Amino acid sequence: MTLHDLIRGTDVATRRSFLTRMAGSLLGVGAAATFGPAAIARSLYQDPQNPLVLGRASAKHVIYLFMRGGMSHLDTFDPKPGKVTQGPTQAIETRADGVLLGQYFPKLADQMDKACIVSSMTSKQGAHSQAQYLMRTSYELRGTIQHPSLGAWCQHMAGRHNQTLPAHVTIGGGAEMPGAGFFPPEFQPLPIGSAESGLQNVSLPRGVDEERFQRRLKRLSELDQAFAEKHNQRGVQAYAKAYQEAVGLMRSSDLAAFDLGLESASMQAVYGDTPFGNGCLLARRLVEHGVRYVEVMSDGWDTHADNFDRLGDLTPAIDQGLAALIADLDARGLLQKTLIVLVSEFGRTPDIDQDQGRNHYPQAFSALLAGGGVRGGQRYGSTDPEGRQVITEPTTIQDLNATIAYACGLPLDHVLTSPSGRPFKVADKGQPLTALFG
Amino acid sequence: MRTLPFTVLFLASSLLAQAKGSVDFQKQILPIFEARCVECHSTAHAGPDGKLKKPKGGVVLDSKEGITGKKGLIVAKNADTSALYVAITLPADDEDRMPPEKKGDPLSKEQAALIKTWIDEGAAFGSWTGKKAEPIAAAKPNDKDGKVGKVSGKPKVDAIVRLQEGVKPIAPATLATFAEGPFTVVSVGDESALLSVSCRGNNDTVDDAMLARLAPIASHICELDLSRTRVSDAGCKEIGQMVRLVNLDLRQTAVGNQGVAALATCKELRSLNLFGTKVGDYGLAALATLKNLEQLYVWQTEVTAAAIVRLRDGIPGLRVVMGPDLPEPMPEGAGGQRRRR
Repeated sequence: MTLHDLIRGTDVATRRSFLTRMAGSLLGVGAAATFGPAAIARSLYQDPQNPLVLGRASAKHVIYLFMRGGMSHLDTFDPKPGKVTQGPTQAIETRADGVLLGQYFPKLADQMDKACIVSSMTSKQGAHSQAQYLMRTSYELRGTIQHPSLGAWCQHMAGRHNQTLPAHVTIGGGAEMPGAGFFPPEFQPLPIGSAESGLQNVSLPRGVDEERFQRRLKRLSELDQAFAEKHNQRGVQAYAKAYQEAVGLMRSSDLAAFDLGLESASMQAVYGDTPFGNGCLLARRLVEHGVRYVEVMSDGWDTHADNFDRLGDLTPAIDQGLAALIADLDARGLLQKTLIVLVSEFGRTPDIDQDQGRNHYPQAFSALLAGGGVRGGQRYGSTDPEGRQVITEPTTIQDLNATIAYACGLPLDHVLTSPSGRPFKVADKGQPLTALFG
Repeated sequence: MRTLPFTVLFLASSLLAQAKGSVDFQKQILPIFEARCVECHSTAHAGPDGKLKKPKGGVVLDSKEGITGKKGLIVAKNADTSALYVAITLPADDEDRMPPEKKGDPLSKEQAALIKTWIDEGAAFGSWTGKKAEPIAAAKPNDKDGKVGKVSGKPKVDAIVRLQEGVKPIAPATLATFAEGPFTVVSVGDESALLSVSCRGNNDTVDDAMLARLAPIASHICELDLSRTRVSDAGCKEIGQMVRLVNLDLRQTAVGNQGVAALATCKELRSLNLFGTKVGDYGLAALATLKNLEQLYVWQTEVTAAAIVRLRDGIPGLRVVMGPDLPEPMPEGAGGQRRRR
């Protein structure tokens, strides 16, 4: 997106609210006061034609766990013991009566009283990048537009909890994600490459003390001033703001949120010393410090060959990290206001091929939800006895995203207009699974 | 020759048992179960954290009803097809072996032999019936579908909807005074006049004195998040004025007994997070007046189990979380995604 697109931008109302919000942020009046859920404070600024009224949020935070590549539903969350489609995977009982898991999740099994499986996910998109895009944005991948991801929608509509920290952080992947989409650049997530390295380049360079740093910043703003005055536009403002926020974060005690070194060795061991486990632990730290939306990615689920051996390698990190995350958040009193979502772009074929592999299968797959007001110990929807087709409560990707948005109190029918003048909603036409709550 | 003493013992014990006609379950078998099995395989009960602890794999070994109720677990007069005997005689490295590897050594050969003899003789229990399953307070007799493990969240809507009746919104001018921080003051949602208050970041700069700024809106606050701030006992007096407070988060603050005692006036509290605070049994006792309390978090505090039992006696349905039900760490080398150093 060019600067010009940004400037030409959205319709007048959104632009006005944006500018107000931008001005607010620069003046230290945060998004929450000007744009966030303060209906009363916000009513001073908002567009009467298109009011944004947030619902009650049972989830103040979202931890979104993405299994990239397509996770086999039969071997994980929707086992079919005794059926030919099950292959060698055994089903195990869990803390929730009647909710079985694949054998690879013994630790998660002990937490299933707090989690819910949606086993009736269904979609028509069986290609990786298109399906991943659909999962994150609720819209089909198009050449002409980039849609915002759910995290960006959350930030846009509900604002930040912690004004110092980014609202939206992605861990273990990022470049290929849709991110802010057509929203302004400030809605881009902060990408963390690896959880154990944390946030890079946040201390002053060697030989630069605070005074010298101040001088440099002052010089920078002097140099920028003429340009910024001449082009008083939001792309330029966003650029200046990015600097300002980075400096604010460098000076904040909240920077500690990114430092896994502050966790005890035993706590790190409980999450598992894996990229995913560390990602979950970092996600917990970020949520504790008020980050709204954290995505943790796990890669390698495209098990076309040796599905069962591969799952044996892939799943222990997920079982460990997810079980630890659920239990730890619960004990800290955070699970009740944090929605954990585990998804994959599609499932895998019930039929096992000659390479002991399973292939792409969007017709039926599973997702897991825990916390954030979702009632644990339940399975929502079902597939047929061989896991081939959804037979009850078919749930689209948009429905799942609408469920997340609903938990966050985001208005599902609120329309935002893209720079090209087209209307979009947070979860397109998705309907939330309200039966999961309470 | 190393096996000789075992063989002798083994023979001797089974011969002895044969000679007596039967193994006495209560004297010889039950002690083995109690020492090695019932930690995981006992009738569903409330664990130390107040949560329902269910028997692993649905196998219950502390009641006659439990042992005989699980099909195939014990096949009288046929130890070799009894799942229990099979599980205890699997090789030590078999993942289905009981007790599992992480819980220690396998049962001794004598113990296994004793169990085999007992089963082969008909698996009689004598007069023993064991534990009765009792109704458990921790397992809330659940919602409409009878699902276990209710997580709170949306149910609070009802309390908030009730509390907001007739409440007039705070004047915009008053709300505007919060624009500069340190608090974020927003509606709880759906254009309610009730407010949700949290900190805007750098929580360690928020102290007791700043809480005085909330006084003009105190009666409208129904959610208050002061986690990780410098708020202490003195600040809790201000919180005690918040008569519509439903959800209070004081985790990781220096709040202690005096402060918690000052919350006794917040009769509408449903969720109270005291994780990592300095509260102890004295402060906890003061919460007995909060009859609406549903969730209480006291991990990493001085609060004892005895105090929790007393509190729960007076507040039916209260869920107290004393600590996490964390998984065992991963064994070294497990999983293909381990970090390479």
